[in-house]
Amino acid sequence: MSIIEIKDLIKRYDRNIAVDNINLKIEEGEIFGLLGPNGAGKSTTINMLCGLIDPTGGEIIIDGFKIHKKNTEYKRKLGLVPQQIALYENLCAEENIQFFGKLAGLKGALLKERVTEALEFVGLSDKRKSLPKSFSGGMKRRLNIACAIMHHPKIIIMDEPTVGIDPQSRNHILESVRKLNSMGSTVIYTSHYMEEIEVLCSRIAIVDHGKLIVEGTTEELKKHVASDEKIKIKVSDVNYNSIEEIKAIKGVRAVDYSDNMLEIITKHPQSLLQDILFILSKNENKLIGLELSEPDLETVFLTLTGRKLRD
Amino acid sequence: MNVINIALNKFKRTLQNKVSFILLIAMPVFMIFIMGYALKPAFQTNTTIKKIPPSVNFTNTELVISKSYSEYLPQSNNAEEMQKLANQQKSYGNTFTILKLDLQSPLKKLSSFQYFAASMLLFFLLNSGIGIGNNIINERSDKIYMRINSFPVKKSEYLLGQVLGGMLTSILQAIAVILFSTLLFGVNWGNNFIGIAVTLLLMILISSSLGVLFSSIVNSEKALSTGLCIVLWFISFMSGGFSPVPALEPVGKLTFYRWGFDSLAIFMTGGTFKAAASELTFLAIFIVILWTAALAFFNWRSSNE
Repeated sequence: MSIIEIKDLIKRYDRNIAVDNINLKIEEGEIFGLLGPNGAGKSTTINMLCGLIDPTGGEIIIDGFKIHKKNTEYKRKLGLVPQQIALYENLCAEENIQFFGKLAGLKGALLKERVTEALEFVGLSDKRKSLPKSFSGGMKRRLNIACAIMHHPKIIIMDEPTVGIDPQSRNHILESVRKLNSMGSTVIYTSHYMEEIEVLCSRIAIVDHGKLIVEGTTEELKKHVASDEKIKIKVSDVNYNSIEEIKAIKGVRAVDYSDNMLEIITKHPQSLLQDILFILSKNENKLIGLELSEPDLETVFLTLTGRKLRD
Repeated sequence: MNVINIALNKFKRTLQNKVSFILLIAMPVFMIFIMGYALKPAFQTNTTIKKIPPSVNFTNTELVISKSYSEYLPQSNNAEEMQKLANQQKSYGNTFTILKLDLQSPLKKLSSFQYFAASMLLFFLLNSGIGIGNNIINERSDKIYMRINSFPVKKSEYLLGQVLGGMLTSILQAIAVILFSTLLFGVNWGNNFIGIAVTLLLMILISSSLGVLFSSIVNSEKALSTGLCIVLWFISFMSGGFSPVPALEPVGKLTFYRWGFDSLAIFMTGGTFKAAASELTFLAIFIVILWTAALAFFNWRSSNE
């Protein structure tokens, strides 16, 4: 059964269409990934889900209730972990969770119990009386999560929860997401890191420029580019001519160049490699390394949109 | 409950910033001391002389009063002034020089400390709106507002909580300033505490509406603080809040600061609600206008963020 249904969702700001006719169904109990580069419309979609901004068109149904401006009761089922660290710097960890817990409707002994539980869950029990300004980035992110889960929401929305933190904290957060899901929460996880989405999410939707590009399980998405392979060539200072000439080769599906790495998606890497290397050599581009790889979500995105996930 | 939770949260965070909180009370008290002491001589003598021309019908002492004195003369002072003139007339006939009171004559019963206690309290209460506005901007930019909105909290509850939290601080500030000014400088606030409280409450409402309005228009705390500061300083200066400026009197009369100040002065000098009716009415109307604008802008901003 779908716990969230998004139908023909549109958000327009003057002439800019931030979300352009998105249709999605999210099943209860799954970890649903929303993948796309910065500015794709992920956060705008999340904001509309949480009732923070009003859609220009379409509707959102959460657990059978249609979202409406005046209706806030459905928000009792939601827990939002925003992309930014949304905490009061001059209240200690415990006070932050308490305040948001009260807004969620918790009080008295239950509130105290849930605050303790949330702190234990994110591994900050020994920091309950400490101020967030004394925390590392990873600890702040964990407190950010604690403030969203103390009321045991049915749906947890996590908007890029691992941005800018160390690998250890990131792994802790990913593990927390799995735990929350195993406890019965549906998780909507947005990110532009395809590695996280791939390991975490049962189903994924890829968005770009406000549009839903493709939706399905990781395997289903990879089937879109099943026969494609990726050639990665490390080159210093590729010029515009080289890229255009490579794009023009018959059989090349997509080309991207950033950080001295030229990525070419093609069904026939072996047969086209010679032509590609000839072009680079002719244009006096210095080759440093070369690699062939299996398609991943990055490949899917590059194939379907012509650009990379990360700017 | 959401309103109370948000209000108490804001109030608690204000109290936790001990330095700011002390300044909130210390600054107005300090300014009362400086201004009250420095301008004490100006409140003590009325030296302007005016000669009444013989053509004036001097038997009509009320007409003389209206021609000679500022129209701000409270009703309670008229009888006293008429008696004085009647006595002068007996001694000197219809043509004589009389003292013309300076433009502060309606407030001549206020000492310099009383004057500046009222004006500084109003000035700092009006500035408290900057705190409310900055808090809203801060929570918007830090995405705390977004987080709060993801809970079952209506926009109206959020706004009311913010305003109430700010008002709690302002009320505490007002009580502290009144107490300290009474104890340290012997300022007499009169007996009409309900009148004083109503006036201060109205001014706090004006201040919070300005904070909410500006927070919906500008994007940064700096822009809000600068903009609102300029407006409030200008209005306070025009209204004679820092020092009586006779030349600006006609314009100063039209400001909400002046209505609040006159209302306070009336209650401090033993006046009644009836005497302050026009000032309180103007303030109430102004509050309705400001809050209508503030709510409209807040709603527009939060729907399109």
